[in-house]
Amino acid sequence: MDAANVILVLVICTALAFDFTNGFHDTANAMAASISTGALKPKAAVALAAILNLVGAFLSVEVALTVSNAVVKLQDKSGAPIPATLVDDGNKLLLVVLCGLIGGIVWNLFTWLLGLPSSSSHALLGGLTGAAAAGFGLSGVKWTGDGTKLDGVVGKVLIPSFISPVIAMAVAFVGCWVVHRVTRSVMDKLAERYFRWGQIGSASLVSLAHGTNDAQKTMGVMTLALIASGHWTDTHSVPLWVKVSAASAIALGTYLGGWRIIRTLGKGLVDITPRQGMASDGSSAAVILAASHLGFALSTTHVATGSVLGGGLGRGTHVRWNTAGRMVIAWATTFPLAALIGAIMWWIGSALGYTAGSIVVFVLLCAMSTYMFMRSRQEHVGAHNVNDEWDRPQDVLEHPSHTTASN
Amino acid sequence: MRSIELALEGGWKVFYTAIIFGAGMPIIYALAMRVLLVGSTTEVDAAGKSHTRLSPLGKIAAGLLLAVIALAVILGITIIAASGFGKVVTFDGGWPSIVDK
Repeated sequence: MDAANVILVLVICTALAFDFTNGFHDTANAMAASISTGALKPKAAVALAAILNLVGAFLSVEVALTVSNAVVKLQDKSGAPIPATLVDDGNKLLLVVLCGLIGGIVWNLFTWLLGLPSSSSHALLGGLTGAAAAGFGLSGVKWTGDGTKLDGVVGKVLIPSFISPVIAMAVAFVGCWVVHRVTRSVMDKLAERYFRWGQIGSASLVSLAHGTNDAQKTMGVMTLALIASGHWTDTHSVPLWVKVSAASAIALGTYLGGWRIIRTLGKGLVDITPRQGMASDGSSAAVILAASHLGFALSTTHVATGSVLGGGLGRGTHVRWNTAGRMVIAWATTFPLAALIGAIMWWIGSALGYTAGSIVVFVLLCAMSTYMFMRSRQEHVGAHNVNDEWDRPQDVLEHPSHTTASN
Repeated sequence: MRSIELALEGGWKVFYTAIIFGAGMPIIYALAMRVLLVGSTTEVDAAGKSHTRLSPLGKIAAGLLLAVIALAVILGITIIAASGFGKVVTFDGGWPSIVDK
């Protein structure tokens, strides 16, 4: 196997690994509220999300190959690598992509370990930007658009991360507030469980939309690597095996479920009731679909978090602002820190030459991932304890006879 | 500055579309649950358990509201599926239709 093939195989494996982390990192966005209210059993919820992600991934017949174009100048409009990047038989571009993916995975795993919902897309774009800036220079980074549309780091990453949680929060607030007013006088005859169907329906839409949007990103990156190494030339389609493997990786990741993040979003931020969960999930589904329809780039994670928070405020329940604060810090640092990891990986990898360098950064990825996985086992969160009480609320402390619920 | 203008413009569109659907649909669902109880009678049996009997009127009214939600869900799935096929749903003429991107 020559150098190019070694790097290509590592890029493909790493891209699928990223897709997998993308799946389990984002299970919470669709399902945290349904799991928390008991609308769906934890295992049933992740199975439903996985199936819908798989269906969504296969619905992406027309795959966008130009994922990285939002933030870096690596590809032209058709998705083919621009000539300036194709030096050293495309090996340089492959190593940049590999290092960028590693930046995204390491950040996803780190935030998962901390139980924080951070944006997988921002992690991927951050990693790619950092590696590309280190490899091809800062001039390769697209900071803003040309003034006709939102583009670049500012237009596709920075600004949406301020705006999208606020929109989601406002929509969920209004929905939840009105739903409670409308049903207040009849709740002695209605059970909360009547609202679970509404919740499951809107959560399913979020999952389906996630599969269509996010699996595509990995398919695009894998195809870019195949084009750069001369194994693929068509910029209008992706190889079938790329589609099948990427769809399977994201579905498998979703099924395993990022329980730590599900727990934070479902229990850690606010307590969720079925009526409130229905309003939050309805808001997430509508904001994600409206934005994708109107071409406004946003992160599913920011929307889901904003919706959960807005629903809680709409019902007037207690918000754990310190958890919200930690999430905001994670959002703000995702892009720059994933970029930094991507850049460091590039500096290490390129110093050792393409073949050895790519193997070393891959080994580093495996080592860091294993370490974080081992750390996660110390305080294991899974389907069995995802819905445990977040902390002992004040009334429990005052009345010691009450015990915290656990299942 | 131009980016901020564009972002506010885009964000505003996302906001009002999402408020119509994202807040509107849960509210319609809640209304459906409420009108379901119109004309209903509640009896308490000997064991102290209450039984609610729904009226046909309540069922029909709730069914109509749920049908509105079903239409919105179908629209949502169509938007997702269309984008996967490189198409887009437009509302020119007030009626959704699927066209090439």
